[in-house]
Amino acid sequence: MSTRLFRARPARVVPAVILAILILAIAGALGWAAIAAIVSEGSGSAALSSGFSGFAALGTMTWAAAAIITAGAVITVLGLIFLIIGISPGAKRNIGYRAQAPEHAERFEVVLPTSALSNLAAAAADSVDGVSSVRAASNASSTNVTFSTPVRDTDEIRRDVDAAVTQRFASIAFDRTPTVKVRSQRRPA
Amino acid sequence: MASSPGGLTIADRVIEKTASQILKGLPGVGGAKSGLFGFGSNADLDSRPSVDVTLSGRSCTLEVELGLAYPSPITEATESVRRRLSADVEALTGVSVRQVDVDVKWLKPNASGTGRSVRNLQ
Amino acid sequence: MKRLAAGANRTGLIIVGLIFLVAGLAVLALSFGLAAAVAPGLTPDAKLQPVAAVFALPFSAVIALAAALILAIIGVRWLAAQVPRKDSAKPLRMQEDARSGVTTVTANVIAAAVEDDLEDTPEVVDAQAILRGTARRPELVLHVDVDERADVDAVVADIADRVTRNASHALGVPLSAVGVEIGIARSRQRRQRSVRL
Repeated sequence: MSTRLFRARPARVVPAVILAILILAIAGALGWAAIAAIVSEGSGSAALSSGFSGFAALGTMTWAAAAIITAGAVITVLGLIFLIIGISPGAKRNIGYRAQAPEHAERFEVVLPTSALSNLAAAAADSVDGVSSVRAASNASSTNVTFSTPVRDTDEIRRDVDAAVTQRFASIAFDRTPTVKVRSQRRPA
Repeated sequence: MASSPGGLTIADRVIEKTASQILKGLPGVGGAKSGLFGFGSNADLDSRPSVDVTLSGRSCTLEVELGLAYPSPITEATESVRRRLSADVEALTGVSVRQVDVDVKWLKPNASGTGRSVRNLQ
Repeated sequence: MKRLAAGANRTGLIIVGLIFLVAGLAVLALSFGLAAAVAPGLTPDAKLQPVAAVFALPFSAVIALAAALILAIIGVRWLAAQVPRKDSAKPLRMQEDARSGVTTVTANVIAAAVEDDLEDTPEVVDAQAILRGTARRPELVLHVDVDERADVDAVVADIADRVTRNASHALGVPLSAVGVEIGIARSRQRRQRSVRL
């Protein structure tokens, strides 16, 4: 099996759920109109338009009507968005780790999700004196650390935080050690 | 057997108890008395494994639910259970064992013997 | 480490996206008079009466009901596919000779043993394991949450040397693949309550 053990790219669950609910909503509306038509006519040969008067109103509109243009534009944009979400691979969510396969395993794969990288960086920054709170955001190749401090001169603390996080990352055998960017945010004491 | 005077009848429960007792004596084999969620507090290497006997004629098949010490090799451990069970049940009851189906319900580190014990430090 | 319907989601998004895009562009082409060259009469000031007439056809309600049912089935099935799947191995058969009896071990039994074993690794706070594959080619997928100050390399080394060796020993075959996902436990929420000596 050559497929990867961990999914590296997003599975697009949220857009899929939104689209599935949209499909269900269309199905519900269509089904409602159809049942209303059959009930009001009282026969199986009922036309759909007898259940919902909107279809008759549709017939009096021209193609150049503002509502039709708007609907066309909305559908086009939605289609484009779905297509892009479906095709674009999305951000990588795992960082590779250098690991040798032990003799009792043919393949050995270790990954750290970007969330783990952020937590590592935040924990390392937290241990620096003068830091009161830390936020960290990561992608597969870099981490942005933002810390807040009551101290006025933040330069020295920034260097310390940078050193602490860089050293923490260096202690771990990543495939490619992520780069670190540190920003300070002064918090009035 | 009923035709011969003074014949001996062995109930299936006797074979079950016998097999269960044999298993209890084996090292690294434990019972599978299921707790609330299948296995839990009752699963340990000191409890008695459950055995189900199906008699057919003068032979029987056994269905055993047990737990094993981890990380002992499962195949070897269950093969040795199977051999011991067949030989000993036949020797003790005279009923030949055709098949022993083993269902391994849990695998746990061997707590007895190595002197490991869980101590609550609170 | 559980599996998601990534392929189905992307395929679905692309298909629906294409349908929407084509339909939307067609409507816009009609609205701006671009279609008049291809189909005479379809000018921007033409009425949508031919479209409305379709809905006035006899039996169109029944057809719409059938279409609604099909759409509803697609929607529900797509939603149901979002539930993450463990895809554990089928119960493993581990006997030497089936004529003298079969040995059955479920994937969850082995996964539970591996989880217990992982939690014996120093600095591992929590662990989950899934056994996939077959008895002859087993695959282990592991997730461990380690303490924020843990020596990650030491944890990985212990998993590689001890945990996977134990699993391979118990199964009696080399593992065909081992995947480890490492999470970092930020706050020490789960305190160990007892120690095994």
